[in-house]
Amino acid sequence: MKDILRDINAMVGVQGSFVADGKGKVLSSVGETNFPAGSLGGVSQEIFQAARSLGFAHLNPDEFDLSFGKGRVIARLIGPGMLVILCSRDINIPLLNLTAEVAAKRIEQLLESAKESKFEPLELRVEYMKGLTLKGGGIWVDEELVRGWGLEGKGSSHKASVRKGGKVKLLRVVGKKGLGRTVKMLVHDAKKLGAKEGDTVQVFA
Amino acid sequence: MNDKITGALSQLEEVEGVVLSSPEGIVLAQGGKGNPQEAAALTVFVAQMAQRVGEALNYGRFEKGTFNGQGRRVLIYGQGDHSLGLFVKPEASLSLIEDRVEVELGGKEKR
Repeated sequence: MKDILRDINAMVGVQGSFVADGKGKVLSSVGETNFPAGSLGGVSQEIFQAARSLGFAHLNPDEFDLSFGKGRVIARLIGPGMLVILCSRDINIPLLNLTAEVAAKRIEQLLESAKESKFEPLELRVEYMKGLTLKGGGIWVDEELVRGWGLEGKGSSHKASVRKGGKVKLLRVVGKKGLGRTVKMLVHDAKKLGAKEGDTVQVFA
Repeated sequence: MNDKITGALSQLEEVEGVVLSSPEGIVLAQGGKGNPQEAAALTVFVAQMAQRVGEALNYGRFEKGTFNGQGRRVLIYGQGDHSLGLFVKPEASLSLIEDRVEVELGGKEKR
């Protein structure tokens, strides 16, 4: 998610940005040192509460654009969360909208896959299994771990999403005995995520 | 004076309603369609939220804001302690309306 926010912050005039979940909790931020300590959390709560209250009045806002004496705040409510961009007043709005549009779609995908997950994500190390020809792509996970997720163990197959940075790949999790707490990924799947051997990825079952 | 501003703005084709509200949500002036009390409450609610956001970020005074949703578009201006809310059609050109608001509020020359 940080990578997506860094892309936004690369724009001239953007001072900071953050993503919050469906409760207004800041999940990831960039440029927070440009603002008073802890202020992003407060801003997130303010906007989230306002959006919620307006929703009760059947207004359901999908964007706030607020201009101040010394800056501008653009908040986009995206699916289960929101993207907030903090910038200068003279920002190039058409260009920012284009950038924000692309970013919002990627963030929504990340937030949706996290929302659908019943269990806490696990951070696991990638190890390639060269020559593995699991049809449709998949990752092998220790049976014990699969059971820990409340799923069936050895030989079972479940939907999962694997993430690295801002990238998400939907795969199958296949329970297999005796592999340890290690994600075994097909080389081409790992490449699509930009993951190298030894990298850490997040697995959501 | 306030009635003159809200009256002039409510005459714009793309504006459905205008309200000037006190910080307590009391309607000071209004024009156009809609329930002015509800419009005033909404305007003050968003303006005060924006003011707190601006203070938290050291961005200074809230000047103006918009929000979209459910086929509605609302423009809100901070006017000292008061707030001006314009309820506009979803397809409205905001820049034209903003220009006109600034003229009425005395920030720009009338074209």
